Amino acid sequence: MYFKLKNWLGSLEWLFNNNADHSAQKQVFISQDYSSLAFKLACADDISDTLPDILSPVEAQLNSSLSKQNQLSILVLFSNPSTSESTLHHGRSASLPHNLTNTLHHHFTIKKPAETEVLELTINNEAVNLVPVRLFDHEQHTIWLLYLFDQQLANVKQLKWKTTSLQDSLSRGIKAWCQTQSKIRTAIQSERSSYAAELHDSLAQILGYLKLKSAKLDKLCQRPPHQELKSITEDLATYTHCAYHQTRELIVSSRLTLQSDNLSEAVTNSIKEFEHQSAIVFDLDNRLVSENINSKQAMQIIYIIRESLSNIVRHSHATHASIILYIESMETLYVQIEDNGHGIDPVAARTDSFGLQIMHERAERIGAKLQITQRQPQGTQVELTLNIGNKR
Amino acid sequence: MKLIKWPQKTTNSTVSSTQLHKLLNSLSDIVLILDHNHQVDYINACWETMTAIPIEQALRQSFSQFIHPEDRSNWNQLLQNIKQDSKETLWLRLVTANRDIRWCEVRIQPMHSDRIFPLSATLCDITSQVRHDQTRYANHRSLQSLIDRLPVMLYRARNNKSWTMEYLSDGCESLTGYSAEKLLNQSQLCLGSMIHRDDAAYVWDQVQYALQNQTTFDLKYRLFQADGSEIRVQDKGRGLYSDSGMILGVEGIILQATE
Repeated sequence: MYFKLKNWLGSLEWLFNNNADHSAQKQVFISQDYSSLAFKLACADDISDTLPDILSPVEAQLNSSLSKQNQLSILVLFSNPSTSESTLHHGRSASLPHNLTNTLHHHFTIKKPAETEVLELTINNEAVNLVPVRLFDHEQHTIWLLYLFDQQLANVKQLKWKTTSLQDSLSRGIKAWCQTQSKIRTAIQSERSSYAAELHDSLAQILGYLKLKSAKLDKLCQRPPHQELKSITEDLATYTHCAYHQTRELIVSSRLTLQSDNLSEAVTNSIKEFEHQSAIVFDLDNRLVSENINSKQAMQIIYIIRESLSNIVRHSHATHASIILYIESMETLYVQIEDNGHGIDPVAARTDSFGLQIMHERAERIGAKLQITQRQPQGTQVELTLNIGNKR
Repeated sequence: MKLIKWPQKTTNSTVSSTQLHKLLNSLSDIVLILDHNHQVDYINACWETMTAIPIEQALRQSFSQFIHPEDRSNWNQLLQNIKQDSKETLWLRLVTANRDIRWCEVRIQPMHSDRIFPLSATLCDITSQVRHDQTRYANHRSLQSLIDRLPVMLYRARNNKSWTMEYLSDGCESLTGYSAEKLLNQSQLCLGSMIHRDDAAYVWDQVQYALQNQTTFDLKYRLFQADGSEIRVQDKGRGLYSDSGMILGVEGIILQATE
């Protein structure tokens, strides 16, 4: 009853405002049935394709009932403050101000705003009016519906009355889509974890055995009378070694996806894990106030740190290791892993270089720079730099 | 009522501000004054020695910006909770101009008895102590992890027929089915109660013989696990003696016998 009365009052106010504004086009707004919209969203394969298709006609229909000064764009923002990721969806015809995504990312994802009815943001030195509606929270995401006004802000109460049904349908559709995605993710992770367990129990052990045997065979064929087999056994040993490392890599990746994608937490946990395997002093110096990196970047960085720690425990003969994480000028993330051990042996590194090679590949995948150098006066230094300045 | 004014002691009055300044700057601890905005009002020369940050860059700046990001919340909490009669102590890290870390013990208190601000503080460099503690902890942690992972039970017991345990490694659980905590310093649930009745006297006699002769013992006997199943174990150990030769206890290792 309350809801109806509220709507009725809203419509009265709207009619009154429309009468007062002679320049506005006088149209009777017919509340739309958006239930099919919710269904489309819930079944979407790729929401980045589906949402623009849905928003375009809705936006056009809504704008036809608004005056020329009150024209708006409908935006849907997926904000994840924990990984500092924002994804903005909008209609296909919308011409949005340059830098809008960046501004919205800073306001909604980095600053975590208080809810207000109207928001005035400055984009390219121009004030822009925004009506934000928090649709719902799902896991670490907050989904916002944003009405962006090009010129003049419309009557907010009137706008909310007109869009109640739209908000409800968008909210239901996107929520259902998010829940389906979560289910798919969980299913994939559980499948990966069972593959990892199987790989670990069967394939990796067999490959480990083959690696030893092929290396031994290769060694035997270095001397007469089997020297003519040398090139074959060398290949055999190298490729078996490679296959063994790639399998170990797959196992590690599958396991890492099940852990936290928060970098600080994952680094702390990894250090705790490696601490118990050695008498090395691990000194973590984490100066990250906020983690302005996404989960994919975090995952690769965690892997590189873990590989470095594992090298320190297995090969370095170090007594101290330090892990430093900091961001300089809000733009570059630095990760430094140092130890006071023997340093990289160029001969040993050649025979067991898959780990280092994979570290470089992982750095490349996220556009990071990785340098592995001798540390003065002794030890090894691994330095990873990642530009995070222009991230959305 | 008559106010009697005692003559001031001459020793205090002779300390000039120059001498006081020299005294503060000669100290190997940082001395500072913080105002009500938590900004640095005064800081002695040790600051520059310890952090390589010029004094001018620290003055009138919020002190928390020089503190390691992970320690800032503790620092802010300490400042919020400070009272007129507080004398607080906190360990935190300062980030130097070269991006190094200096561990400091901060002692902070109000300068005046009738109000909280300004605050006076000393920062003592404890970096070498922290590093030493970290190394000691790492050695202990490594040894503890090694002992707890071994598939055997290391023990130190009192020399009584219950073999009351003072120390047990984590291997205890896989061998006996009981966690180490359950067996420590217990008289009811103890190793003595788990040994097969027919072997108990033999174990006692053999250990006593070894203790009297200050030699080691190597025994095989039957043990009942928590679920009632019987296993055969090997127990190798020796006595613990004082300098005067008094028996203080028994130490050893128990593992499942292979045969």
